[in-house]
Amino acid sequence: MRIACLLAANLPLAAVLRAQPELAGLPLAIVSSGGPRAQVIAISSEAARAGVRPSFSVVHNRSICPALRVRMASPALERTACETLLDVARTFSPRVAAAPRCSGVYAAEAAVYLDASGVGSLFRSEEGFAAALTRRACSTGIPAVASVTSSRGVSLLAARCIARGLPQQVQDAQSAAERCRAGTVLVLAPGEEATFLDPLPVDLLDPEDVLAEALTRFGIRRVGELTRLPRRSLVTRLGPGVLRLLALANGEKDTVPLPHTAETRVEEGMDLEWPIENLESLSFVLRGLVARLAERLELRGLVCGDLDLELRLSGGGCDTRRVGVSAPHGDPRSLLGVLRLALEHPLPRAPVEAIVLATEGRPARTDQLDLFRPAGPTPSALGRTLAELEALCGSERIGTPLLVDDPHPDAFAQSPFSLPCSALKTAPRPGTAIAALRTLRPPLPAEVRAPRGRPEWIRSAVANGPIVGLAGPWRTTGGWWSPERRFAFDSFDARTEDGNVIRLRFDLVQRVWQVDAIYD
Amino acid sequence: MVDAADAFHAASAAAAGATLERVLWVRAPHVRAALRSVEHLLKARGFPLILLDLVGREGRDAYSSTAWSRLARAAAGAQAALVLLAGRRLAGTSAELALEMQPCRACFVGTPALLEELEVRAVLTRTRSGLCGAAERAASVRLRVLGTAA
Repeated sequence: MRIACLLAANLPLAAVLRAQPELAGLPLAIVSSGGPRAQVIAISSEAARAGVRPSFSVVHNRSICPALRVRMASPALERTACETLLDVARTFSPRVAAAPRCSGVYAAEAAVYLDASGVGSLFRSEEGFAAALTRRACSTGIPAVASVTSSRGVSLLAARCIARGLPQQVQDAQSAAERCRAGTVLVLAPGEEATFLDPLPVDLLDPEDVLAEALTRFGIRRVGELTRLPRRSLVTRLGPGVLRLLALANGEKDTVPLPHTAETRVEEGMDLEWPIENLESLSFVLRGLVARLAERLELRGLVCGDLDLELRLSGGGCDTRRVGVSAPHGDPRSLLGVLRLALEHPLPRAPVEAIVLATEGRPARTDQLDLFRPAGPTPSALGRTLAELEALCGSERIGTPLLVDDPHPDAFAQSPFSLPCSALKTAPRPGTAIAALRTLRPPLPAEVRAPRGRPEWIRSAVANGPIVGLAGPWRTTGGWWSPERRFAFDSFDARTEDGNVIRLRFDLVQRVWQVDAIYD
Repeated sequence: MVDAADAFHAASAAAAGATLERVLWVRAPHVRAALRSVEHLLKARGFPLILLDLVGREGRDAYSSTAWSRLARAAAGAQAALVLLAGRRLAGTSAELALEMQPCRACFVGTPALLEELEVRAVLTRTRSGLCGAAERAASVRLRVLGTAA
């Protein structure tokens, strides 16, 4: 079994740069909290070159580098960055797992394991596979390194080595250095792992503080020195915690295979530096969230379904909204449009402090062409178009008209539009054309004179004058069980002297005359 | 069907032969949304017929002269037929063809009377393809009324 490890060495920095790419290339420091005494937990390479150090305070670092940008670490951004690494890994292997986050010196790193068995047939070599993995991770905005070995522990150590630079002893071992391409990948063949691990500093095993102190006291500085000691004596003197280090140092094989997961729910979130009140600023933040969401869905081969938007408000409140997407698609611009529309009515009742956007990914719809069916829009174009129409008109106003089983003459319904699968069932009818009805929504009030119980004269916005042709009445009633839904109409087809042919009705409940349709 | 008038009647359309599952009904809340919707549908391609219903929305300030020429070009590029319904001519010289439907008579037959047939006169008021003779400019159309009254 071969295991690959994709490691992002500086996750807080990568997470912020992924959300705010305009900060790339600038001296940047990530702090754990607000205020001048905040602890610096990560710095960019530009900041390091300018003399900024994580051990200094923010105020001291700003005095060294006045152009230093300071951003607070965001757990939401880090979580989504980890999930993005998992998504990248899933594009290469179905069996992936996230490594548990460490504390201490390696608290800023995030790693993902992949089952790399058999990748040589796809990528020519494991080096090619690892290089493709790092390139894909970098394209999502997360710089990462990759290693391929026979176990999780050794692949993690190898990746840490690449991230922090190979020790001189390892570089002297020609084969390992040759396999390290551009400082981003390292592949260790089975049997080479012990040789590789031997000269590594024992700190790479990430021992607990007490154990690290004890190892220093005993003069154990290299992994090889640790593995050459008797196991029983080590456990007696240093405690059971050393067993984990020994397992890592010996490159012991994993017995539990990596899980095979197929999650479809994707979530992107962001904690805001300061609360946002207006819609324009909120849209700017949402644009980035939507772009990252669409990118991660694309990595999984999915498109966006209905959106779940959660806004955490100042004062502790929460505003959750579900935004329907009539046809799943992955166009960020259209998704942003429907989100804006959803936020306009009503606006959030308080300034927004954090945003979480999630969706259940759906498979992209494919469509098989049919020679005997009229060409329609492509599924992706249809999804985008429907989203744009929803943003313009509202989701409740777009759809396929339905024949409703409802006696009320004003009843109508729409269903979500989708490309029809069947060919046309009926050919166009030859012969006499059929008159269509134009419904008036809402019905127009009319003044009608009916001295003998039948309308004889009308004044309305669509027809006026004496009624020269009349058919009816037809009584329609329904909803008798509910005072709110009860209706009763006497309907007539009428032609007025000015040539208009209308459908006229008398509302027996409201006792008013209305024009509810025109024969067009 | 881009319906700024919100007047589409599904039952009579189905009775007239429309396959409702192939109809996308867009109930535009105002004229600007209707015109933008038409642009989006033309840009999507794949909709060979688009009906734009502006009956009752012919207010003078709602349209610019460039809107119709832009829509006409987009329809030509998408190889789609864009049919505009309105109470008066709106598209001007951008229209390939303009028909005025004039009501003629309505036939009430039987006892009790039923509205059975409508006769309208279709008058060709504009065609880009060329002049046609006086006899070809108008035609009477008989429309049968199916039992769609409530």
